[in-house]
Amino acid sequence: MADTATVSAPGLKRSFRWSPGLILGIVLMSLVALTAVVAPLALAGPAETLTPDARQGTSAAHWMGTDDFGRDILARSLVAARLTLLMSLGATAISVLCGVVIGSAVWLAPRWIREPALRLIEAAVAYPSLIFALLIAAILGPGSTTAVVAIGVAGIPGFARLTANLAASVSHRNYVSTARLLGVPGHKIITRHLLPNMAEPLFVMATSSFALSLLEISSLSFVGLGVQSPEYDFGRLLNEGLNSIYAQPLQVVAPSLMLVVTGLGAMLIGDGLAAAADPRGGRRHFAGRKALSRPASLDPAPQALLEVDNLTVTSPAGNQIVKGISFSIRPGEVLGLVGESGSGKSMTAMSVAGLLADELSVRARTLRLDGLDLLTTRDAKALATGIGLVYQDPGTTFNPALRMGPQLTEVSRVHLKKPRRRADTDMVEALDDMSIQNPRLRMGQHPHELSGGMLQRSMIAASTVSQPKLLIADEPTTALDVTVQAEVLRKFRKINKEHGTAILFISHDIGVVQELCDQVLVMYRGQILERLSAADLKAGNVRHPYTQALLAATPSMTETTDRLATAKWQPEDELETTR
Amino acid sequence: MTHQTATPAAPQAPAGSTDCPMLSVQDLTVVLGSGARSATILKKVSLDVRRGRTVGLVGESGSGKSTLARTLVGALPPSSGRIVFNGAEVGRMTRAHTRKLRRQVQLIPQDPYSSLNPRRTIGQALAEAIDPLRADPVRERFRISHWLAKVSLDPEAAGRYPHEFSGGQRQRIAIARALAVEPELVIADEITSALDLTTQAEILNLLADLRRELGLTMLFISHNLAVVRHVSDEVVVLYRGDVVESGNVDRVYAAPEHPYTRRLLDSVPGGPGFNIDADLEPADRAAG
Repeated sequence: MADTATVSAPGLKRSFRWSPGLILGIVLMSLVALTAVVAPLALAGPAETLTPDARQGTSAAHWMGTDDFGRDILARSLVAARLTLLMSLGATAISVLCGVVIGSAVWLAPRWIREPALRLIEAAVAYPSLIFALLIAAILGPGSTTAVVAIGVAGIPGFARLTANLAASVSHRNYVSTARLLGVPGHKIITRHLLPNMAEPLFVMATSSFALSLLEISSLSFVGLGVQSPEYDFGRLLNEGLNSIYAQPLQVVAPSLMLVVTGLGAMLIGDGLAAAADPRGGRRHFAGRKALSRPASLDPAPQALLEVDNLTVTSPAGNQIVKGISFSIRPGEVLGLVGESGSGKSMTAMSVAGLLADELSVRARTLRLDGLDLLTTRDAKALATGIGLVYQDPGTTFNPALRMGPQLTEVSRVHLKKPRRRADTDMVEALDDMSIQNPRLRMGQHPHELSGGMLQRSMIAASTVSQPKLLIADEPTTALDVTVQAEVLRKFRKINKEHGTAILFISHDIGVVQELCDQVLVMYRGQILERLSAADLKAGNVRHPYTQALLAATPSMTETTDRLATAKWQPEDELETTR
Repeated sequence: MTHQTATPAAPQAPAGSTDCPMLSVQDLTVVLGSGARSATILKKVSLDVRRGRTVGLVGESGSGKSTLARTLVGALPPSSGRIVFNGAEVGRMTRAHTRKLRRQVQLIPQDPYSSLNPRRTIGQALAEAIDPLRADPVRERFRISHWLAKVSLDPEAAGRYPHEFSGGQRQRIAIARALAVEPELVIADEITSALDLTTQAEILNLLADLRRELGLTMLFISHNLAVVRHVSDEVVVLYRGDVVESGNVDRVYAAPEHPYTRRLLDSVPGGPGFNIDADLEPADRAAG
């Protein structure tokens, strides 16, 4: 009795995306890391032994020459990789660990501590970290430990802020509030629920932070506040090379190259990981645009307003979402399309409107609205004026930054070439028709100043002023309260009765469909199972077992039943079509 | 506010039921925000939930349903009024007692997708409900299997992650997690509104079974009037923070006393009072 289908949420089973940058970064970093391990063992002699061959040029023995004390420049640059990497790692570790601890603590703290602490962290982030580090280094005195501590501490505010922000966003999810309700103590909530769900962005930031630490530590050493002789890192080598930059330019080039390679590697890894972690990135733009087959039906049913014959919608992966359905709508008819999620009802409606995403391919033998072939037409005007659309969520249909008026009159002005004043007058009339109070005032308001029901009625008004032959409404009342839904349904009825507009009405609610529609199509997994009249549906006079199951699963407003029937209807070709 | 309480808010206990209600909310007022931006979300709301009964709470958006649920579980502070749970007033008890009480009232959230941590197995989630400190799924494996079986899920589900389950299955898991605490009162906040019709029917049947088996006491919040009628013994109708009507569910649905209740019931498409051709004035015009 449990539903057997398990679904996977997108984003969790997403396969990891290897971008070229990420691969290059990993290769570079691996080379540097290998150098850091091997070079001090193999090249310590030439790098550190003082020889009389001072300031030599390029030779077979010294590829990049020697420095003031006759040490091999290339060897010194390679050996310096170890100290530089260790210091950068140390600094990053300090930033990440302290930052996460402080960020979590701030999130846990009572409100009167949290707010000032967050402001303090933000101020610290705004302060340039290198200057902060110079300050710390000046206080502690020069040395390699100083450099690590200074750069590490300077990076803490960034991680503290990221942690606190991420914690605040993750803590809004229901599982965190549920854990609180269960009595889970605060620190356990952090380790069980917050940190695992914040790990990805924190790790990405740690990689970028490593690249930054590398540069900053080198800068500190370069200005003489970091590593002191006889130790040397990239920055120290640059510092030593600066004195003889004209005589011995290679002495600066070698450590610079190493710095660039290491920094580039770390940054590429950081960027690559960030891109891979972003679920919106890497969406494949499928080449299969609307693959249109020519209409084969030479004998269109003359009485039909909309004729859909053998419509298929195929996903980029090759799954058929709509499996060759056919139906027609007569002028003035209200046709309901009812089904559960995944039945393909919205896909059907959107392919009629020509509004499917590009990666879906739509095929049909006939897709025709009155005289207009919807398969081949590129006529935006004919589409915009022939079909009116009402979407599910009135809150997102309108642009919140624009006033209602220009948005509502757009079709009239752009496609019908009505002058603005005329379009406005017509719209005011249409709004009044939809029982919107003070229509002129509403036109000058922004969407947030209207309630959901008013927005949806405005949307209906806007979609009717161009006198479309067909109105497509995709779950137009699902987001509305029940009393508002009743009003909006009555408005659809009114339009249908007064203007003779045909309506394709998509809904998952059998009650809504049976009240408003003349005819109802029951859809299941991309197929039409049954076409029946609303009167039959209301009377329970249905033939298909799936429709019967749907009706039996609907709780009643009048009859008391102990149990609802949950027998799921399985089509015979279930296995074939779903796997 | 014109819609004042027309009926006694708390239904009188019928003769025979002598024990006091498990939950009694008296004149609860909740004000959110402060100063000029404050809004009174709940206005002197009173309702009783008796042991073993299911009380349905209906209302439209902005009626204060969710605010009431969040106040009852302690996520929001009441501005005035009393919440009495098993005879003891919430807020006037020791901290330890409050903590114990927190576990006695459990909320099943609406969205089955954000109510489970994607990085923790079902077993870990249930173990945390049973023992919030240790949360050890191995130690609690027998009770985890027990509660999974109660919601008709296989014990092997304990080792799997939330994304491997459908919406309906996740909602079963959320129910199992709430029940695993062995609470006295369960608050179900719109738990079927994200589900398909047939899945909703399965969850409603499951609730009916659990009520029978465990004698659950439940506050069932929903905007779906048919679902509330199916599940509840009593119903409370909220309108803009006021209880406008409450009473036995069959009585209220058959003969609503308050005009708002009447309007609400007559707005349900497919319901007996619905008339699509009725020329009713929309709310904004009527109110304006």
